[in-house]
Amino acid sequence: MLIKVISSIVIIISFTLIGGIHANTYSNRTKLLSQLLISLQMLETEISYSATPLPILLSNIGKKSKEDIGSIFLKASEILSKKEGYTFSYLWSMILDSEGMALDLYPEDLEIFKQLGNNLGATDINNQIKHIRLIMEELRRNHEDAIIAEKRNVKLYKQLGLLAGFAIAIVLF
Amino acid sequence: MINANNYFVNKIEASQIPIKQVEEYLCPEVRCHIKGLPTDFKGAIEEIRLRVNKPLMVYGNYSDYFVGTSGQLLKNEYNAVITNKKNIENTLNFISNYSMYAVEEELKRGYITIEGGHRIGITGRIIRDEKGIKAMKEFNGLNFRISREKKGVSAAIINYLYDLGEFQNTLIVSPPQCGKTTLLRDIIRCISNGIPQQKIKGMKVGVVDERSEIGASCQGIPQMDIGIRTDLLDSCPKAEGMLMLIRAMSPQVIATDEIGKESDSLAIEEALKAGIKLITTVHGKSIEDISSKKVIGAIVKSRIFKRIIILSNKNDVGTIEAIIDGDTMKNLLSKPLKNKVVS
Repeated sequence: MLIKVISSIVIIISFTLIGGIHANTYSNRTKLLSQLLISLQMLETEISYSATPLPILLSNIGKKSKEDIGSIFLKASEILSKKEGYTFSYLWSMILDSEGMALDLYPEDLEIFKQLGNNLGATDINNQIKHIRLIMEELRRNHEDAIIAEKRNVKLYKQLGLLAGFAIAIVLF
Repeated sequence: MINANNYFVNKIEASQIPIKQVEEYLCPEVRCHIKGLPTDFKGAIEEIRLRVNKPLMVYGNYSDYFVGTSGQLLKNEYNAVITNKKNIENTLNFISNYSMYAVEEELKRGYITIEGGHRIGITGRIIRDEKGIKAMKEFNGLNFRISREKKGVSAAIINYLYDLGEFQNTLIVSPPQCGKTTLLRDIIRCISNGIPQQKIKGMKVGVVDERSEIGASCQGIPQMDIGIRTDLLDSCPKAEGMLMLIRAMSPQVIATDEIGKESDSLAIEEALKAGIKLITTVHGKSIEDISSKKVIGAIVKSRIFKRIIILSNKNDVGTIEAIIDGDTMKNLLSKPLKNKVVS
């Protein structure tokens, strides 16, 4: 009897945790997207006011950004400073392919983030600003979707985990 | 630490540092061809040219060559590597350090100076507005001009420029491509550092570098050695720059390149009034040639310049034909000085 009670409790707790973890991916996405928007805003400001060269600029942004997003900028800056001869768009999509998977972003978010590399640094200031604003606009739309999805799903998956735990425990009892 | 063997190796590498610095800025496709060039040619290379859909070319040892796929020098273009628009765009990205937005001003002038003082000329489509040239887009050609600092080219003549330990106003007269800027730069370095062997003290030198050739500045910092007591205004119009230096930096000598405008002579007068010595250059072949020019002719006739150096490339680049005393108009040299310095 005691064993049954204990194992039921364990099942309930673990299912609740699984639900919680899954729910977290939704709130993580929202957080990441808003951090990304902040980083891009910094990028735009730096380019338009101080015309800092890209390798230095990316490392500055990387240091100021939150860990997950920052590490991508830092990595890009590090590879650029080595001057191995990659074009920026190639290098950027390479970094996002390897590092982006670990982030709680949707493929469509990553795709937009990747587009940033197509043009960054390759045109004059006005076009750079237009390009960054366009990317930000698209990300903002995804950010809004992410907020809606977060509101809807976080509670849902937390409760679903708990209930599934109970259901299985009852069936097994 | 340093043994003879090591020293020898370093010396070989030193002559190739300039080309190594430039290689970093080429796109990978072009870079591998240039890397394959014969070693002795790398030491003498002066230009690398990329043009859209035209063969890759290099210039050195007084002639130009096409470059083959593994870096061999070719006399005709049949097997030469063709450079395309993508190569040029990628190379420009590296030159601008992945930041085309940061080099807008340089593009307007048509060249970018990179670390080491090498200059890259750029051609493309110019976009204009009512104020003049606004930007350059759709690039079609690049010319890497590899610079080699020739320290010591003024060693043979520097003593002629001093009279009783005092520096004399100097004018360098030279046709294009005879090394006049190189000579000017080295003289500036000597004046600024002083000449300890002759017990000549260094002087404060102000340089107005309108075309960024004297200091070859990269992001405002001179890439060439122009001496320890030298202040340099980069890309500054000469007349304004000279006045700025007089007011702000209290120089003892002012150096500029290629004077000839009306406004320049006013600035020169101002400098002389303040007791500042001058050294400058002018395009020309001889005293008679420059005397016929309006502004500079008048300055020469007023005997402001006490030393006039005439350059030519009759025998070799940088031959010093004569050093003329501005007061007596006599040549101080008994015969032309061949002044090739192997760096």
